[in-house]
Amino acid sequence: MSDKIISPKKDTINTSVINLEQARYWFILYKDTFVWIKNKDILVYNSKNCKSDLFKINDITTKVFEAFQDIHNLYCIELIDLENSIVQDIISRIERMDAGRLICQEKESLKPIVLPPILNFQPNLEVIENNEYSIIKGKAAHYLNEITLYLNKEDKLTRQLVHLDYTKLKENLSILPYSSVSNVNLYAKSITKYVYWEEILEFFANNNIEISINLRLKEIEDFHLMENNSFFNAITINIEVENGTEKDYRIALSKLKDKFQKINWRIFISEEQEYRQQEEIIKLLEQETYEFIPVFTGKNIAFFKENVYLTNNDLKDIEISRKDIFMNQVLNSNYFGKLTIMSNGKVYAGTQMPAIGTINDSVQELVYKELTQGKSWLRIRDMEPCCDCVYQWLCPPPSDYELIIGSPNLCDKIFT
Amino acid sequence: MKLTPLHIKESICLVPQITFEVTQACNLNCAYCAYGRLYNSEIKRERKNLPVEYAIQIIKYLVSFWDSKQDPSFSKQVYISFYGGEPLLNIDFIKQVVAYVEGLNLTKRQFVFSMTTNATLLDKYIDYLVSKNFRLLISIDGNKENHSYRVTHNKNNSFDVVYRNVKAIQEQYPLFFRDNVNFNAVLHKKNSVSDIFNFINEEFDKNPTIGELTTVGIKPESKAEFWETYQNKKESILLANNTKTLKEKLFLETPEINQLALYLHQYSQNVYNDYNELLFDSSETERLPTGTCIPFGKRMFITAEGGILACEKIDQKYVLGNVDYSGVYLDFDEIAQIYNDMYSRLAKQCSTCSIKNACQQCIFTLENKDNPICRKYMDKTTFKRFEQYQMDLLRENPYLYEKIMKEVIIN
Repeated sequence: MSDKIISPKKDTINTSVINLEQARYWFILYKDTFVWIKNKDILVYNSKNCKSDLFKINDITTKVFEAFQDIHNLYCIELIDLENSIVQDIISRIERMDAGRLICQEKESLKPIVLPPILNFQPNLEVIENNEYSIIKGKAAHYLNEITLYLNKEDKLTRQLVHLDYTKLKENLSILPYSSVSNVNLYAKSITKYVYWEEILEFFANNNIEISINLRLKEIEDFHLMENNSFFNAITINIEVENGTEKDYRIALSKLKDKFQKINWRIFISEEQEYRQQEEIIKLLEQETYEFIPVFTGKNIAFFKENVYLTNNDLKDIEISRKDIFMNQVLNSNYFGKLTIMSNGKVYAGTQMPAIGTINDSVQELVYKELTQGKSWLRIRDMEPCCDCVYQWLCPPPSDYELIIGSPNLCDKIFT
Repeated sequence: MKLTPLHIKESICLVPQITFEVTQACNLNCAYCAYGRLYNSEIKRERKNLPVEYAIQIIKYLVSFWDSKQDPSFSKQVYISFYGGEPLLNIDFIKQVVAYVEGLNLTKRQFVFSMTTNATLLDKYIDYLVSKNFRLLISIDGNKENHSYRVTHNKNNSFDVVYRNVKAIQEQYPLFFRDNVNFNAVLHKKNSVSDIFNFINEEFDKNPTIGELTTVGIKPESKAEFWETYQNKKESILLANNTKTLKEKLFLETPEINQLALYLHQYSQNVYNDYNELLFDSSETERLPTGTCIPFGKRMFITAEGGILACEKIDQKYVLGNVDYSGVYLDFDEIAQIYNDMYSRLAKQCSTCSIKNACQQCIFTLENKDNPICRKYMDKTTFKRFEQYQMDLLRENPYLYEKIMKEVIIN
């Protein structure tokens, strides 16, 4: 029976042979609709309204959706048996999520065609076709979009502060006008003890780059900036909170709130109780710009599974655009374009991966190396078990958490 | 969006091709030559040679960018191209420039030498060209009859010499011929796309590029003769008895497939040229108007007179700078201003044009630069028809969608 549901492929049909008793139908999917078939599941996702529907595999659903996946059908198949209940179910569910529709050929004899959403990503095509990286080579500096600098760090043996080489940094960052950098994050063991503190602020401000200074809540008492600093408007203060007390918060506010317009709280939490305590304080102090950042301690996997891992329901509720799906197929938006430079000069594209070079290497070299050999910027969900899952490209890109926890994904699927 | 001096500086640094008009002289006198009697040209051509010192000044100037810390590339291939007239009439220039470039020893630039030639002098210089791994683009219009507009100053058809020289390369240097030699033909009334394709494919096992006669800058008194010589490529393919094969083999060289690829690249929302396009939202304001290339974004053309242009296809009166014995003069602010002024004259038309995202109109080929009218302008109704045409083409040839999406690189 299933063989007769979809008519064989043909370019045109002879409308004179159609009558009501033998009516034929075009069944189309819309251009924003994605179809993924993996193992036992078929997922249809409408990236325009973010509605999805999961179909169980059987002969008929497989046949229908494989026909849609045949690119030469251009998202239009011909149905000749609408009596079949499975076919009716597919049609009604697709129409309900506004992902496609049924068209009687009496009304539209010319085969409708739709451009299925398949990605043509030019740099990858160039590699596949010609084994050439000329697009990446020529534009290397353009891909840098965020820099994180660790200005100084205490040496474990000597207890001396190791400072980032400012001369080398400035020379290397002369490329900034051709890059996409709009933001720099500054970290330090003791930020104002960095010898070139004023110079570095001036350098980035002159390049129209927003500066985020990251301070630990407990160290704010020691933080000093020159009075009347003309760059204050370009600066955002991120206060990193670990087990903060109300008193700590109040000290920080009294010291910073009059000088800086933009203050963000980045609150690290590793258990539920901590979360509730910190949330209470932040609400009491009427702070609006804050985020909670889960920390994996090695002992709190239950907390992560409860609060961070995606459940089946979370997966069904994912709302992501067509462009973001394509992005997930190509690059990792958690890391892409970001370089971290440590005070000892080592440069990282992802801090959980080995260094890709040092500050003695040019930005162009570092970017090219990461894009051709690196493990962070282009780390996507193409590994097991994600590659066997219909939600592969809807899920958020892999993050540091997967690396720290030692799991390829952060969802229930491998635990059930 | 406006062009800024920084854009110009960056495109000069990343220029992928430098084309030298080695000489204005040519040993042929093709009836349809864009520098010939059918066309207006405000620049008089006097068989001048480009002084080698000028070329070296240009290269030195570019090296100052390529050697700079501000070169945004990791590395880049640069074509050093020789153009004419017939460039082989000034082989000494070519040899000196090649020797100079080979002595540069730059880590971030790799050089490839290339030449467009009428092939009449290849027998004398092929050993040298092979030794320097030149890429050759040979002009040939098909068989002897097809080729008969390409005549010497004595009005003799150049076909026999060209054919003999090309065959000799094919036999003596088969690998070089396979990897480095390509063909370009001009379509006119004495040939057809089918004639050209069949001849070059059968004789040389290559697919040629085929260009139409340029319709810009024709002398009013020569218009009748021009249109007697002109043939439209799309029509020529449609009239052929092997249309299907031609479309398959020539693929993007076929105007309608080329147009479909452009349409899909710009309007399908499935094509991304770059990581940053995927990562960031681009807005209307980030696009430069018209289809004009950013100056030097594709090449830099140096005329035999020392004029610096953005392309050899642009009339030489639109020089953007100059080179002489003392150095190179290019004012980035002035160039940005020239382009922005020209964009602004078209801004009103562009703002309501429905095909602006896939615009291929170069400002410099528009008639009446002070008050230009774009002949490729599309209102909503015309664009809808255009879109319908693309859909009809795909309906008839569904394989094209997969081929374009999975194989076509536009960059």
